[in-house]
Amino acid sequence: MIALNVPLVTWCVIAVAMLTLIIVRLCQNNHKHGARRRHLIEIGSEREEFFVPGDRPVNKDDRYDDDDDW
Amino acid sequence: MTTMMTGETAQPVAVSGCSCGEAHSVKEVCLFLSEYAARLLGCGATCIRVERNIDRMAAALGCEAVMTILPRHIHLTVCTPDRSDSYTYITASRSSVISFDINTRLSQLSWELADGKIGFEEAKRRFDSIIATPCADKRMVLVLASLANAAFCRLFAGDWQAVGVVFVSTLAGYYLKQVLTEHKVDVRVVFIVCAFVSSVLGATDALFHLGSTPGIAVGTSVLYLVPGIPFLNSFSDLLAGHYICSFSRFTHAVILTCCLSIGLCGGLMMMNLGMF
Repeated sequence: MIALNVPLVTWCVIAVAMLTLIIVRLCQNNHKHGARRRHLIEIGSEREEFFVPGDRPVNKDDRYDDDDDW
Repeated sequence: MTTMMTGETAQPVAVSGCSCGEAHSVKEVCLFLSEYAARLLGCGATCIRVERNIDRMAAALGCEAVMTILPRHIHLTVCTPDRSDSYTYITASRSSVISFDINTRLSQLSWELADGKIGFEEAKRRFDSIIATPCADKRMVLVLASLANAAFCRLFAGDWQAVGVVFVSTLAGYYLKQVLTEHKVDVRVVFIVCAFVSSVLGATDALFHLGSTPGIAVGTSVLYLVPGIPFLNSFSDLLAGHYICSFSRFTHAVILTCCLSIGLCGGLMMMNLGMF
């Protein structure tokens, strides 16, 4: 019974080990390049979700009031 | 790294008969050609290629070059045609990844110098820029190597399930190879571990009865580890009469093949697949 399970156990161990290695390396790379990190899920403002042409870019510095456009 | 053996004269005397029209000493030429030869040998060129390129460049620079190529060192003597000045230098070959790109560009550089399109100083600048070329993108190499191995499986009449299994097993094995190589693990250990992992994952087809060609999937899952270039270079050196280099390369290739076989046999045994 044990002998029959050896291939399956071996395969599972190798597959899980490889998956773990890949995930760990990906996380390390993400952490290393933190400045460019992008989250799969995050809480954002309404302006990030709905952009109407003519709106100011989200990251633009607010140096002037909207009234200055007039 | 490098050791100067003898320098009869090291004064910066312009070499007569040089086609580039620039003043340079025999010593400068010898040092440049030594570094060039070491890099060319390190990126996977055969001995005959190194010899031809060095002869071509030395002739263009108005010198004669005689060299001994050993497995890990190059012994180069450059002298003027009238033997009035000579310089000898021994340099260690630069161990680097095999790169056909650098190999081609270095050969191209030798032709440009020989054809008089560039001078000695320009050749040195271009050489520095060529050897500073970064390696190919690892992720791209990983995907392309996996696709190539999967294509081999298809060529050997494997079904599409086997092709998919080989792609994944190669992807995993090659990724592991890149990680282990990054951590400076011994290349023989890398070959054993990667062959084991790839063969175990290559046995997925047989384990879960996915397709009708599980044997081909296992057999082709480790093909990416076969040291083809060392074997070919060994044969080329043998034909060119460089027996020491040929034997060295052949031994290295055989050792890697043995490591591959150990890993593959281990994988087959663990997966209860018949070897013979």
